[in-house]
This record gives sequence, C-alpha cells and structure tokens, in this order.
Amino acid sequence: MFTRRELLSRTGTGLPLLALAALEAAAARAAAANPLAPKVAHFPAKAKHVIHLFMNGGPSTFVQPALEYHGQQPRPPGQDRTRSRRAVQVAVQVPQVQAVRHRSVRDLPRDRQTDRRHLRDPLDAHGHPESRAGPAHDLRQRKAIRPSMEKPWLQYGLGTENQNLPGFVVLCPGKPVVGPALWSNSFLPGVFQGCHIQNLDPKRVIEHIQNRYIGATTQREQLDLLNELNKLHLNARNGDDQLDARIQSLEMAFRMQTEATEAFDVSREPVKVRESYGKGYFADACLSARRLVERGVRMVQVFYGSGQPWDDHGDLEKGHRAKAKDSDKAIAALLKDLKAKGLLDETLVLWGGEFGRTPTSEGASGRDHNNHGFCVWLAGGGVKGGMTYGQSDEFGFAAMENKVHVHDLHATILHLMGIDHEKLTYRYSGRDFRLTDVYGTVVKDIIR
Amino acid sequence: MPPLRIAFLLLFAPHVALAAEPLRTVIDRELKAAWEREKITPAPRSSDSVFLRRIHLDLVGTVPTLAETNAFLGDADPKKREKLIDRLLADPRYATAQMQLWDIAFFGRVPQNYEAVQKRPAFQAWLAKQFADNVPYDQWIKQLMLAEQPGSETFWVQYRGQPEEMAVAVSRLFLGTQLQCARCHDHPYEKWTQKDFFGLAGFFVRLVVQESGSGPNRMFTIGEKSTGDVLFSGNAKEQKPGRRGDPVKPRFLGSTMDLEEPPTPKDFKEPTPKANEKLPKPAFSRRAKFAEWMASKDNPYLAKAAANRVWAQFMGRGLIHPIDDIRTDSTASHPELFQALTAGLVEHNFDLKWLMREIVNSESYQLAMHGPSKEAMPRWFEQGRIRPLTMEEIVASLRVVTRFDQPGEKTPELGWEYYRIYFGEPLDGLGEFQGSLKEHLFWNNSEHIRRFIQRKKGNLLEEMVTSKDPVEKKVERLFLTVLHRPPTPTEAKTVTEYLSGKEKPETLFEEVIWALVNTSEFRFNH
Repeated sequence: MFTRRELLSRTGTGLPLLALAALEAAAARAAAANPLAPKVAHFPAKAKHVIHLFMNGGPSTFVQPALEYHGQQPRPPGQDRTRSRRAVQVAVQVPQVQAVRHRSVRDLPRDRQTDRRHLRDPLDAHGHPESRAGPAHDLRQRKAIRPSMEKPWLQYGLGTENQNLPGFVVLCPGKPVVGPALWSNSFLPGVFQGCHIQNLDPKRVIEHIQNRYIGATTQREQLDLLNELNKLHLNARNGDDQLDARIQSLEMAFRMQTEATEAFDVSREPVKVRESYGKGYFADACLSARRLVERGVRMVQVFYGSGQPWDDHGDLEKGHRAKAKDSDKAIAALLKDLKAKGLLDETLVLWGGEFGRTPTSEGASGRDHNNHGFCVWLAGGGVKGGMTYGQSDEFGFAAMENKVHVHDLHATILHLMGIDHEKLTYRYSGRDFRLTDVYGTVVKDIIR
Repeated sequence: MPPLRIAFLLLFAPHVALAAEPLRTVIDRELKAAWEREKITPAPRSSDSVFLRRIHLDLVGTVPTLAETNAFLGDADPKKREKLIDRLLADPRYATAQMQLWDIAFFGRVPQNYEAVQKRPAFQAWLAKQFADNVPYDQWIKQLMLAEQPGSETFWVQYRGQPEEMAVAVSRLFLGTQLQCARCHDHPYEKWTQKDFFGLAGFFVRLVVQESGSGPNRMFTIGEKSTGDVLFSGNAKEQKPGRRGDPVKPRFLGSTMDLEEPPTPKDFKEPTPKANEKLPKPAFSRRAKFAEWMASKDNPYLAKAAANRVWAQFMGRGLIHPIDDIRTDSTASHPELFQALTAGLVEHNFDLKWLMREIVNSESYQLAMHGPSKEAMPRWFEQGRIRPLTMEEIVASLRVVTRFDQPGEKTPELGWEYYRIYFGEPLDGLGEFQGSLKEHLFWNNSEHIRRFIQRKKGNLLEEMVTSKDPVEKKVERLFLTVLHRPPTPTEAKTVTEYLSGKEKPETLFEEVIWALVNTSEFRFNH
C-alpha cells in the first residue's frame, strides 16, 4: 500500500482529484485492518443492497409495431447485422419481457419500476456486456480482464455489513458460458471475489461449510486452542495487522459455518411465502436472495440458469415464452416479498441480460445478439417508478434517444449505493482503475 | 606505518576498496547508515529457530524435518548458519523453489491462455534447469528471448499474436519498466512516448507461434517472419476507423536511434508454410538482435531490474519499490547499496546464486521479525519481513511436518487445483496478506488438509498416539516438528491441558496437529 507521502509525490503534479479519492480510500482501508469491514460511502446512499436478476443469454425486450409493417419489406437501411437475414414477422408479436413486467406490475409495485430502454454496449459477444471488458481492451481473447461489474467493486467500495456472510453472493446452478470470470475479482483483492453458490442445499451451499470429521463443539474448542496460540504469536510480533486480520477472518469463517447454513435454508420460510415463489432453482434462488439481503449481504446475483438459457438463436417464441413463464412468478413474488418486509426501499432490483436481440430473424425462428439497443428494468432502492427511459429507433434495433451506456448504468448503480463512480478507484499496474473506466454519467432522471 | 598507508589508499581509491569488500558487508553497512539517519532501532538477530525456518522456505521452498531441526539447533559451530546456507544452495530443491517464484512472475496463477497452461510443465522444466545449472541470468534471458530451447517457447505462446503484450511483459519483467501507458498515449509522468512502446513491440511483431502435432503431442515453436512492421496511428483518442497507421522501426528501449536493418530485397516474397511446416530463419532476425541487446552492456536495465527483484525476494520490498516500476526519476531507498548490488551482479557475470548467497549471509537478512515496524514489508529493512507461504510451500511443508510421504508408498494425487483456488493468491495485489474466508473454510473442513493429518502408518499422528513418552515430551516434539522450536511454558501448558480432554487420544492429538498447522506461525514464514 502506498504511504500518504508516496501517493502525494506520485500524483502531486498529475491528477489531484484521483489522489484525493485514493487517499480517502486508503484511509478507510487503514481504519480497519479487515478489508471487508463496512466503509463510509461518498454520500448518503439510496440503496443498501442490489439484487441482480441476470437473464444470462440475451432476452428480447421490445415490441415495435413498425416491424409488423417493415417485416414484409426488404432489409431496413443501416442495420449491419441484418445482412443476409430477412426480417421476421412472428418475433415481434412476442413481448415476453413485457409479460414479465406487466404481470409483476399488476401484482404490485408498479410505482417502483423503471423500464430502462435503451442501453447500448460496444461489444457483442457473450459475457462481455456483463463483464465489462473495456472498449480499449482485448476483444480477441473474449475474456473478462477487469473486475466484474459493480459487485466486487461495490464490496471494495463499501465493505460488507454482515461479517458472518460473504458480501457478494452469486447464485448460479452451474456455469455461465464464460465461466467464473464473471464474478472474478480480477485485479481487485481476492476477498472481493463473488462467492459462487451452485447448490442451494443449506448443508452444501458453500464449499467446505461443514466439517465431516468433528462436531461443532469440538471444532469450537479446537478453534479456541488455535486462537490462544495465535494470540501468543501475535503479541510476540507487535500486533502485526496481517496476523490480526487473519485471526478475525478465522473467526468469521467459523461463524459463517453456522449462519450461512441458516441463511440458505428456505424451508424456514412460511409455506405461503414459499408457494408464492413457486418451485425450482430460480424460485429458491430468488427467495434466498431476499433472505441474504435481509441479513445484510451487499450484492446478490441470481442467474436464471446454467449456460445461456436466454439465448434463443432458434425457436425464440417458444423458448422465450417458456422462460418468461417460469421466471415471472418468482420475480413478482420477490418484489412483493421485499415490499412486505420493508426491504424494497433499500434494495435495488436490476433485471437484464447480456444484451438484447435483433428485430430481424436468424434462421427461420430465432434472433441474433443485439448490443445496439436493449432494455433492463430497475425497481426499488432509489429509482423512480412507472416510467420508461430512452427510446430506440422504430425497429427496436439501436438506441436513439437518451442512450444509456452500460458505463452509465454502472455509474447510476454506484450512485444509488452512495458511491461516486469517479472516486472509487483501485491502483493497479501503475494507474488508478475505475469500474466505469473513463466514462459513465449518472442517469439522474430515473432517480427518486 | 603500514596501517596509515592503507587508510590513505582508501581515501583516494574508494572503488578499489569497495570492489574487494564482500557484498554482505556493504549491505549491512548501508542499512545501518540508514537506520542511524532515520533514528531507527533495528530488531535483534533472529533466533536459530526463526532463521532455520526462514532460510529453508526462502531457498528450498519447504520447512526442515525434525531431524534437521534438532541437528541445527544442537550445533554449537559459530559458522553453522553460513554452512547451512551453502548446503541449501546446493540442494536440488533450490532450483525447483526458485523456478516456482519466477514462473509465477512470468505466468501468474492463471495464465493468459489455455495453450500456455498446457505447456507450462515444459517451461518449468526448462527454467528449473537454468537454476540447477546456475546459468548466468543474462544468458538464460537471452535464450528466453530466442525461444529456441525446448520449453522456453511457452513464455511467448501466452502472448500469441500480440506483439504489444509481449512488449509490456518484457519491459515489466526484465527491464523493470512500465511501458503500457505509452501504448495509447505518451506516458504522462515518464519520458516514454508511443514511439518507444511501438519501437519495442517492433522486435516482436514478426514472431509467429507455429504448431505441429495434436493432442498431447501438440508442440509449439516460435518462428520469425522476414517482413512486417508495427503500424502506428497516433494517440488512441484520435483514432478514426479505416486509418492504418505508419510502420514503426524497432528501437531498443532508451535508445534514440532506430535499429539499423538491411532493406528487404524488392522481389522478396514471404514464404507461407503449410500446416506442420516451419518458417525458414530470416536473413535478418530482429529477434536475434533483441536477444543480443538484452544480454549486452548497452542494456542498462537488465542488471538493475534483476538485482532489485532478487533483493525484494528475500527482503520483502525492492530498493526501488514496486520492483517492476523503476522510473527515470526513481531514487532507491539506499542508493549506494542499489549501485553495489547492480555492479556486483554484472561483475559476477549475472550469477544469481552468488547474489542470493551474499544477501542471506548478511546480518540484515538474519534479523528477528519483531521490531518497531508494523509493516509487512518494512521500508528500512529494520526487521525480518513477515510473508505468507505460497501454495507450493504450504503443501510441501505440510508433507514434511506431518510426515505424509512414507517410504515405499506411492504419492497420492493431491488435487492441485484445490490448493490453487484456496492458496493461490494470498496477497491483495499490493503485497498485503488477506486470508479469504474460503481459505479458512478450506483449512477448517476440507479433506485436502485433513488427509495430511489423519493417522497412517509412520506419520506424526501415529507416532504421537503410539509413543510411550510422557505428554510433556510429546508436546515439545510436536512444536519442534511443526514450528521448529520448543513451546513456550504458556503454550506447553495450554496444549497439555487440551490433551487431557475426554475424547480419545487420537482425536485430541489430531486436533492439536490441526491447530498447529493452522497457526499464523505456520501460515507465514515465522
């Protein structure tokens, strides 16, 4: 870590703002030897937690009446992905995501929803819009070379509230196409890596959460013995911070063994609540997300499924309908449940995929990736409800009005969490990195 | 009056006098001068136990056995530390341990691409041989640049088709210079311009990764074309689609002149080898020129970067820190010492083993670790630094202390992938240790740790359960085995009390061994 003097001498002639921000961050880190200790936000936060409902693959997100007409016509001008593909009529009739939205809305928190069309992302490959490899970075290797989205960054900026649970939990029944890089801490410290939970069985929820060899009492005694030895060692070494931090986290790991098992045990929920979410991994994951947020976990990302289920290159109508139907109930229940528990105000729910799909067809019945314009929706923590933001062209192909880049979305999420995205930096490889690179504007119009 | 004459000579010919002085003395003198200037009281000399553990880990990557510990602690020879150092430097494990450190620097825990992972064992074997044969550093770097010796090519395979990444890696690892800023714009704080960056990349732009065979027989070689240049199109901010840029001639780092190269004959046609065929050697090889420059006196960066890296390996931080960011305006914390290390390395023909021997024989390296500083890497080197063990060191040390490997027994598959996940990257990127919760759960509950401890014929637990010795003796032996020192009275009492618990002896001893290998003292180098 840089000392204050080093930092000033390094950056004194350069970027005073960054230096200041880095100093603040360094001070916050120095204040607590534990990197996961809660930290002071840049300004009052509107949201404390984020639940990201991640429809891995790219869900189609629009209805465009124009297509019904143009669908019969030759290829519309200026659409580079439409070459050799013919516009299709069927697809436009299937507003699946609208269905999710409308039904959830009818169920309850319409005033808490913001439909964020239309986003834009410069990359068009699986995993990219999600992992945010910056535009100046390596497109050929298709790998996440930066810390994934806001999750590790959020934890880095804010720490975690519940010291007995991981701060960033990823619920994914298997592996998405590009693998664990999606929740990788990349160059951020390892402790900020997402805790991947594949199996929701409370006994197997986190790897090595249970000891097969000794009982809890023996383990407690064993840990007490270890603590005594470690404390003698620590005292002989002048209270070294690293050693102290290790003793703390050993304790935390032990407490997590009990608390995590409890947090993931959805069978402790009333039958009515369980029924409202429905059955299956996604339903249980949504319910677990609420239980985790309730216990102070900063960020929960719920993957819809393994691989990239929302990637209907073929038979889109059937595929999208089935997935919309399957996920809708759980999402609606989650929003209602959060509201009932009084958590919706402080929990930002983000729904979205990796990108959208083209208005034109691929093969007979599928549609291809569209990174030029797609939608996400936000609900709860600090966003205005009942509005849409941004507009695409009449085909739903590219964002036209009030474009929101993924950097802008990140900046906005950080803002809602009380973090100035320009001040949250991490020094790596000789320079200060930001989640939003050198871009990003907070979309003020959607904030309450 | 001969003494006076000597003093006179010293005054007028300090260089002559310094050259004859062993480096270890220079180290101690320079560090001492800084402590006096900074008004710092250094830690006392380390105890034999602390030194024993530290030197084993630093030189051979594992801890000593109980027999080695007893022999060393019981030895009254005042020269026993120096002798131990010589013995460990000649130990075959020395090459493996040093290889592992450099290999991680070259590839990281998770290399850039899959192919690099597949062929990494071949690279590791090549690299270990350089240390085993103590090949002069500049010479093996030259060979690494040429990539002709089998195994060495893997370094380049990881940057396949990316000459810019090669330039970044080579400058950072071997020249101690951060050039990557100059990739998109002239460096804001340094003299490096984009021309310097692309000039360096110009040496690598013609490299081609060639393949032959398939499956396990898939082999890589690095060929070189006779034509091709880096195209430079200016500041990244001003890029426009369709702009191709102008060719940039290769240029050695820090040079103001482009590389002189003969013009390519007008009628030259680049051969296009078929599958499994290799490119012919070019008539003029940029790669050969670069390899030659790397190991030449014209390259001012190589010795500095290597001396600084080796110093940091043993002392915790570079004299210029971080070690891969030596700038034009960087001042070493101990300028004369930095000069002496660099000059010494050159004088001794880049003999890394010599440099290591001098550093670890210094009194400064052998200081105790409890001093006034709370920093993990004390700035003035006033105490031994505390560092976590690497994944390889943890596993190797667990094997030694629990006596996991028994004669005549086939070594079971350990499942390295697990250790990599949980112990692979214990540092936060800035040098500070951060034990993750996952790591602790792994220590607490996984079979991968448990199986080292569990009772089997001939191992530590078996000995503890079957031995007829009084419990005090056993406790002492446990501490000497795992931590290479006898227990303090408080520790002896604590552990003895624990062992009087009501569970059966096997369980109790198993838990005590678990606790001992789980202590911070075991997880770190002290």
